[in-house]
Amino acid sequence: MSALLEIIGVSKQYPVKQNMENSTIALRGVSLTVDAGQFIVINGPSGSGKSTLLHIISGIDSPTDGIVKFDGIPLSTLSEDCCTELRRRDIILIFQSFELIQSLTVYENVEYPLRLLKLSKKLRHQIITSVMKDLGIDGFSSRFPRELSGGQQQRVGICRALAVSPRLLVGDEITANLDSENANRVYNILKQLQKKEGMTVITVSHDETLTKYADKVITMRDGRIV
Amino acid sequence: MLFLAFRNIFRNKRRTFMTVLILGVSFTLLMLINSYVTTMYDILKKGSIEQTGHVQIQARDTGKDNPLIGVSDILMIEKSLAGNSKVYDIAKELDVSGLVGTDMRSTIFNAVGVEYAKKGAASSLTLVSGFNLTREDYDKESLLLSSEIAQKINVKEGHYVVLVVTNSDGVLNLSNGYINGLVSTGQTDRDLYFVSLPLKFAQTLLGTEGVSRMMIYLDDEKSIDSIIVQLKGLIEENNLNLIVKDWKELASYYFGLKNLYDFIFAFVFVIICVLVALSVSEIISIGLFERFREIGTMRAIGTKKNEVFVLLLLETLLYNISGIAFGVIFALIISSGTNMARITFVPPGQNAAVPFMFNLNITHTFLPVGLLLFVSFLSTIFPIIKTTKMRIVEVIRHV
Repeated sequence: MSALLEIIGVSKQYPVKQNMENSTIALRGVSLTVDAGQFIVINGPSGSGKSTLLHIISGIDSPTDGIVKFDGIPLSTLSEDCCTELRRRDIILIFQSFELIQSLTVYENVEYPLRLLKLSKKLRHQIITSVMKDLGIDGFSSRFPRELSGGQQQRVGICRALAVSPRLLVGDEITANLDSENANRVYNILKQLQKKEGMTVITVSHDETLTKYADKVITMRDGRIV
Repeated sequence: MLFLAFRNIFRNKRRTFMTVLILGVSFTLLMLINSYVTTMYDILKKGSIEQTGHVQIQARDTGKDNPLIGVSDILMIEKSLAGNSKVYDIAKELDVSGLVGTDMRSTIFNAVGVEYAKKGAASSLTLVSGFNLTREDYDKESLLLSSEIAQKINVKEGHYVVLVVTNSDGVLNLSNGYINGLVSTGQTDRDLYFVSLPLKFAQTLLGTEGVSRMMIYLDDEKSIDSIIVQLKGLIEENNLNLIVKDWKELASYYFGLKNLYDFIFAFVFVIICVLVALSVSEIISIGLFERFREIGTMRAIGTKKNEVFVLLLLETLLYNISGIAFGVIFALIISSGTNMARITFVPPGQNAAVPFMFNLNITHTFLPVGLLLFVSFLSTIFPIIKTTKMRIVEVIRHV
């Protein structure tokens, strides 16, 4: 398997405003290679830099030092629009707090990234119907996010990500609000996508029971991989 | 994006209502003020032109009291303009002043000898009692006396008064005049001394066949320049001792009032713009603040910066369109209601009531409404730019 993602000596520092010398170091020289089709779970205590690493991998944040390459291309060499294009199709980030668009129904939320890809209405409908059925939310399509529970909203967020069939799915505690049955259901689907379509998954989870799905478990502490 | 923009403006109905209300009321105010002021300008301008003519010919001031246009000059001018399809009418007036009174009381007067049934000074008079003078009275020694003078010298319509003037030879002349009616000019100060009489009577009093001025009325204002050129050519060619004036040179009251109202309107406009800018900017900023995380998510899942910018701009556009629609409807309701109520008021310095009405012409409001729209957009553009420029990771971390 070829490396899909290469993280080489990545550090991230957040300067404290009044005093540039006393800055917060979230990542300290992290290096990681992720092959295409791998399923990686990252765990570690709070403040270990897991979310920061995910943000840098997905391109929504940039490292202070180091290089991140996706498919051999350093993300730092890409323009902002190119990074955005990457996040439309190839790298999808699922948030812990799901972050649905409140003005859109469940169906429209899942449809949103497919509209950005300019897919036909018919194709969009096919994809949405299939993915929503897999995650058991096809009964909610006309509801708005405020009418759903936290767990239901989280499944919609996951559905939105899976509808695009990205090459790399990056998730931050994506099952935190789900019961064990639904959490397993989600990970089973991810596993199936990994096998069928070669999707690469990097997810942060504190749930030890979910590590069984992973090809590799990485533990972080104090901004480093231990 | 338009669909999402439309949905977003309805997600907080109260905030949308307040924004549309602020914009709508502002647009309504601007439209109403603009239409009232424009209506007033039109009435004043029309009144001004009625008094002075579009073009006026006067005798050049040679240091003599009351310089007059001679008969031969009058005939030459009338002949020159005869058959000119642009000329609607030519009226002549003669100023006379002196004493008017009875054997018991007298007072000074400033009279205008006019050709009744033509436009001019007589057309703006309001008959208080008695009868107006008409074209048929052109050779009669009758007059219209202001109600103020009538009160002062204790006379009324049907009575006779004596007019004492100094004629063009410097000799005192007097004549009896029959009071056909009592009138008001609408201006309190003017009413203290005003008399109107037939031009022939005024000429008889002054012992002249000349006139103080000739007023030329045109079918279209656009012909003013060409008529002035024609008349100036005639004057120069024949070496006449006359001057030609555009109505604008004579309408000092109209332009004085217009300048004052333009200034007041501009001041009110600025205040409205500032209020709109502050209110709309604040409301939009609060809305954006609440949506930071959602906007960050949209960018994180592949929405480009400029697409977010367009979305937020579309929302602002929808607010403004709603505000304009509300403003137009509200302005129409208020203007129709006010016009139907036929409210009148007496302006300061005048004694005649004028109508308080709105001649709502949407085209007149394009400029002020367009400027307000621009201000509204400008006030929202900075919060929008600031939001779209924020780093995604900062925005999604926003609590």
